[in-house]
Amino acid sequence: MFKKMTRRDFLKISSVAAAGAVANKASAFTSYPIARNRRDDTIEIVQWDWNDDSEWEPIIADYESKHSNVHIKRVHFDAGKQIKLDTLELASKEGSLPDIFMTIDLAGTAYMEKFAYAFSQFADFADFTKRFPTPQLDFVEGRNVLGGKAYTAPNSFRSGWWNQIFVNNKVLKDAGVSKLPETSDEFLAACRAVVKASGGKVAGYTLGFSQWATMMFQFFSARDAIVWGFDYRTGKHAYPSNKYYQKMWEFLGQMRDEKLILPESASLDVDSINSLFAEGKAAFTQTGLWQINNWRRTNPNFTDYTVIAAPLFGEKPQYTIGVPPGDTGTPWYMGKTTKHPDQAWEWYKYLHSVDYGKIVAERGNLSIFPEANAAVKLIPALQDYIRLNPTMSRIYPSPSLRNPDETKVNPQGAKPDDPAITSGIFSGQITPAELPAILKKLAEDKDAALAQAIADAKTAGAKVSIDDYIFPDWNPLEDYVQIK
Amino acid sequence: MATALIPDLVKTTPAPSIKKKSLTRRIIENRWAYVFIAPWVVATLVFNWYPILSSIRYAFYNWTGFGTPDQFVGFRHLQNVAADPFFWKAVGNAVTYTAILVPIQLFLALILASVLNNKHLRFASIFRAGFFIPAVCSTAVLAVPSRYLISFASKLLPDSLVDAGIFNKSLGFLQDPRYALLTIILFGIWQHLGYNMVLFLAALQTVPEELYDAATMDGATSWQKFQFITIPVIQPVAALILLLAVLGSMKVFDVVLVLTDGGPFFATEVPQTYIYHNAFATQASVRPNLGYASASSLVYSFLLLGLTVAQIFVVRWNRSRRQELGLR
Amino acid sequence: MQAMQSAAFTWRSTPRKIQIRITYAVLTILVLVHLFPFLWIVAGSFKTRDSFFAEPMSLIPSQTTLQNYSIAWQKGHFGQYLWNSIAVSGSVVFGVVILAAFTGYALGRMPFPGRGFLRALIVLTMFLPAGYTIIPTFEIMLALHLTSTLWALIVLGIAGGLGFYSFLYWAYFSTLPRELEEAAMVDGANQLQTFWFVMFPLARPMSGTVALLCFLATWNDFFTPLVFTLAKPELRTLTVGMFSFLGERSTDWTPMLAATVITLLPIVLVFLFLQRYFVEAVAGAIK
Repeated sequence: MFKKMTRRDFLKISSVAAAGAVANKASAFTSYPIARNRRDDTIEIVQWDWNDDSEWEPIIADYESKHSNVHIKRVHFDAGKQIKLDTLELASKEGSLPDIFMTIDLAGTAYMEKFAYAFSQFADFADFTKRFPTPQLDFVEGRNVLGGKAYTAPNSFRSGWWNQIFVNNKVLKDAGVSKLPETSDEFLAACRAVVKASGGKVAGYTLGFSQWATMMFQFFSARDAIVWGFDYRTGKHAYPSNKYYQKMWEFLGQMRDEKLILPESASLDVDSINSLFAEGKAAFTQTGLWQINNWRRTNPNFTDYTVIAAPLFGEKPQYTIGVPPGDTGTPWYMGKTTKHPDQAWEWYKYLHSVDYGKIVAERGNLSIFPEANAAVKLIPALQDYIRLNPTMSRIYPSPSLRNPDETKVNPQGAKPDDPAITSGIFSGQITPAELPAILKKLAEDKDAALAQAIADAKTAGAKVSIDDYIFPDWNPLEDYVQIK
Repeated sequence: MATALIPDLVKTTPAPSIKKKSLTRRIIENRWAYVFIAPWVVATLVFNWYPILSSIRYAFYNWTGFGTPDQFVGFRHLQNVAADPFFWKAVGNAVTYTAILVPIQLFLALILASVLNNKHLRFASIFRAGFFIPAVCSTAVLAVPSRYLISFASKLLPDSLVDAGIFNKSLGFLQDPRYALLTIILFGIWQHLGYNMVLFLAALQTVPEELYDAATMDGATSWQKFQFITIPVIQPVAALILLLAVLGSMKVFDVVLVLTDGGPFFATEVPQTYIYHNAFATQASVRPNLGYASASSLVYSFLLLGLTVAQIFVVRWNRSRRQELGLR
Repeated sequence: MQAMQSAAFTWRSTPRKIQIRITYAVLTILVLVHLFPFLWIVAGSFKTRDSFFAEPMSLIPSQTTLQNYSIAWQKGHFGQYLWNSIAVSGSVVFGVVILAAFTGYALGRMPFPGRGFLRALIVLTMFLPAGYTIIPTFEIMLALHLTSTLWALIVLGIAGGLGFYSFLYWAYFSTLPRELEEAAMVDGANQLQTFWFVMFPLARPMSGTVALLCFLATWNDFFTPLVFTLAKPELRTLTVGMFSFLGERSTDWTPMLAATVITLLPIVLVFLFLQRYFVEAVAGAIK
C-alpha cells in the first residue's frame, strides 16, 4: 500500500498547501482585497441582502460615482435562507454586524434595539419622515419605532404578498377565454378551457416545488379565510368554524383530479416554473412582484401578462391579506455597531428616496412613493395591481404592538399543519372526507400550542395572556388602527 | 466516512515487567507520551465534549436559537417527542429506507466485487473507479442536479403507464407518495454502491488463494467455492459492512432534504429531517424551537445507541474470527 | 435447477478469452449507466439555455457554449472558492496526519499511566450523539478570535477528525513489531526521535489512508464552512459557494450545472489519480 507516495512526498504536498494558505493570509484569511483603485480614505459600507447581484451593480456604481469616498460592499445571502435572527446573533457576538442589512425578522420585536441602529437620532430625521406618504402608518410605535426611536422605514408599496395571481394573457386568448376569473368556478372554467384547447399540452395553474404547499394555501385562503387560521376577534383558530378552509382544499383536490395543474409543479423549483409559465405552459401562476424583473432577464419577450386577485369562494370577500403597519416590503436596518453611521445613513436615505423608488418601479416593483411609481411608465400588469391592491390587503392587529412581551411567546408548530394538509390533499394522502376531523384537530392543537407557549413565557417572567391576542373590534375588511 | 474501526479495549500491550515500576518512574519514562497526546486531549475537550454537553441542556428549554434559553420546560419536550406519531412515522420511514436499500445495495455490491475480483480482468481498476466516483462526491451537491434529471426522466415514461394508473404525471416521482421514498432509495443505492463494492473487494482479497486452488483440485464448482470458502472467510467483515450500511442509512439526511424536503405529506420524512424542520422552522407562522429539536435528536440518538452497541460486538467478533482463521 | 446447471456448464466451458470479453462488455454498459447522471451534468454544462430546454436529456448538445463556465467562474466567484477549499483541505490534512499520528502512537505503544482512561475517552467520543453544537462551538471560536477566518474551518476540521484518525493510527501502530523501536532506543534515541524517524515513516500506509479519508470529508463538508463564513463570502468553500450560487440564480440551469462540475471535478480528479490509495484507504478502515 502507498508505496509510490513516500512520506517526504506527502509532507511536501501538504506543506505546500499549508504554506500557500499562510502566504495567502492577506487575502483569504483576514479580509478581501479591495482590488479597484480607491483612495486611501475610502469608507467601506458593508451591506447584507439576498437580492440578485445584477440588480445592484448599476445602482452601486452610480452611487459611488457621486460619493467618491464611499464603497458599498455587498454580501449576498442565499435567497431561500434569507437573513435570520440567528445569523444576526452570531454576527453581533462576533462584532461583525454589517452597516446596512435587510431582514423580515426584526420589525415589531425588541430585537430591533439589539441589532439595529436608531437613526432617529440624526438631525435630519424629521425631514426624512416627511418624505413618506402616510406618516401615521409609516412610523409606528411598537412596529418600527421603539420607545420613540426609529429603527427602520417602509420602502415598498403597502400590500400583502402573494395575494395576486399572474395571468398569461396569450394562453387565455388562445383558449378563447375572454373574461378574467373572479370566482373559484370561473377560475376552474378558465383552467379547463385552457387544457382542453391545447389538448392537454398547456396547464391551468402552476407553482414551484419548494414553495407550493405553503404558498398555494396562502393564495386560496386570501379572501375567504384567514391565512394561518388565527382569528383575532376570538383568539382562536377558525379552521373548523369557517367552511371556506374545507372548500379551498376540496378545490385543490378537484384541480388535481381534473389534471389542471402543470405536472412539473411537483418537482421543479419556483424560478424554473416561472420560466415555464412565461413560455406559455400554464395560464395562471402565483408569485411576487419581484418576478417581473426576473422575467426581463430570463424571458425578455414575455410581456403579455396581467394580475388578478385570488379567486373568491364565497359571495363577497370575507377577509384580506394581513399586512403590518410601519415597515413595508423587506425592511432595511442600519447595523447597531456601524463604524460609519453618517455614511451608512446617507446610503440608507438613498435606499428610501424617490430616486431609488423610480429605479425600483422601473424594474417592475412598486415603491412606497406614489410619485416614483407615477414617474415611470408602469407595465399594464402593475397598473392592474395598483387598482386591485386596495381590495386585497389590510393592516391587521398586532399583539406585540400592544404588548412587547408577546415576542417571548413562541408556539410550537402543529402537525399536520396547513402546508402539510395542502401537500397531503395534492398527493392524495388525505381525502376530502377526512378533512373535517383534521381541521378540528389542527385548530385544537394550534390553540393548545399557543396556550402552552403563553404559560411557558409567563413562567419565565413575561407578562402575557391570551387576552393579548384578542381584538373584539377587529374588522378584517378594514385597516385596524391601534396606534395611539 | 468509515467509522468502523472499533478499539481493542481488552487488548493491552504493556509487558508485566513495566507494570511493576513505580508510577513516578513510569510517568517520567513516558513523559513524551503526554506531549504527544496533548493536542488531541485539548481538542476533544474543547471541541467535542464541551459543545455536546452544553447542547444537551437545550432539550429542557424552549429556545429559538438566539439569546439565552430561559423558558425551562423540564422533560416535556422529551415526552412530546416520544408521543408524536409523526416522529415515529419518520423513524418508520428510516427503517423502510434501510430495509430496502441495504439488502439490495449490498447484494449488488457483492456481485460486482466478485466479478471485479477476477485476476484475469486487467481493466478491473477502471471499472472499480467508474462505480466508485459517485461515492466521493458530496451528496447534497449531487442531489441538486439529480432532482432536475428525475423531473425530466419522468416525462419520458410512456403514456400507457399513465393510463393504467401506474404513474401520475402531475405528481412526478418525487410528489407521489408511492414513489417518493423509492426514488430516494434508488439515489442512495446508486451513490454508495461503489463504496460498499470496494469494502467487499477488500474483504474478498483477504481470502487466501491456496484455499481456492485446493478446492479446484477437488473439483469444486464456482458456486461451491463461493459457498464454502468465500462466505465463511468474509462473513465477519460482511457483518461489519452490513452494520455500517444500516447505521449510515438510519442517519440519511442530505438527499431527503434536497429531493423532497420530507414530503409529500411526511411520506419521506426521516428523523434527521424531522430534527432539522424543528430546528429551522420552515414555515412563516412558527418560530424555530431548538429545544424541541435537541430533544428529538437526543431521543433518536438513544434509539441508535442500540445499533452502535451491536456494532461494537460485531467488530469484536470480526477480530476473533480473523484470529481463528489465522488472518492478519 | 437443471437449466441453471447447464447454463453454468455452458459458461464454464466457454473459453476464458470470450468470458472476459463478455464480462468487459457487460461491465462497460453498467458503468456507463451508473455514470449517466455525471455525463448528463457535464453535457448540460455546455448547453445553451435554449438547447437545454429543447433537448434536456441529450448527452451530445447540438449547440455548445462555454459561457456557463465563465458565468459560474466570474459571477459565482468559483475561482476564489476553489482556492479556499484547497487551502482548508490541505491544511486540515496536514494537521490531522501529524497530530493523529502522535496521538495514535502514544495510545498504541507507550505504556504511560492514564492510557486506559484516554483510550476509553477516544472511543466514547466517537459514539457521542451529535447534538445542536453549533452555538457553543461558535462561542469557543469567538473566544479564540477565529470567527470569519479560514483558520476557524481549519481548526474545526482538525479537531473534528482527530479522534477517529488517532484511533486508526492507534490500531495500526499496535500491530507493528516491537524490535524496531527497541533498536532505536538502544541507539540512544528518545521517544520523539524514535517516533519521528522510525515509527512515523513505517506508518506510511496508514498516513495515506488518513490523508485521503480526511481530504474527502473536509472537501465535502458543508455545515461548518457555511456557519463560519456567513459574513465573509470571500471565505466560502466550493460546497457552500455552490449553494449560494443556487439560491441566487436557480433559473440559470446551465450555469448551475457548470458550477456543479467545478465543485465536483477536483475531488473526482484527485480520486482518479489516487484511486488505488482511495480504495485501499476505504478498505483499510474496515480491516
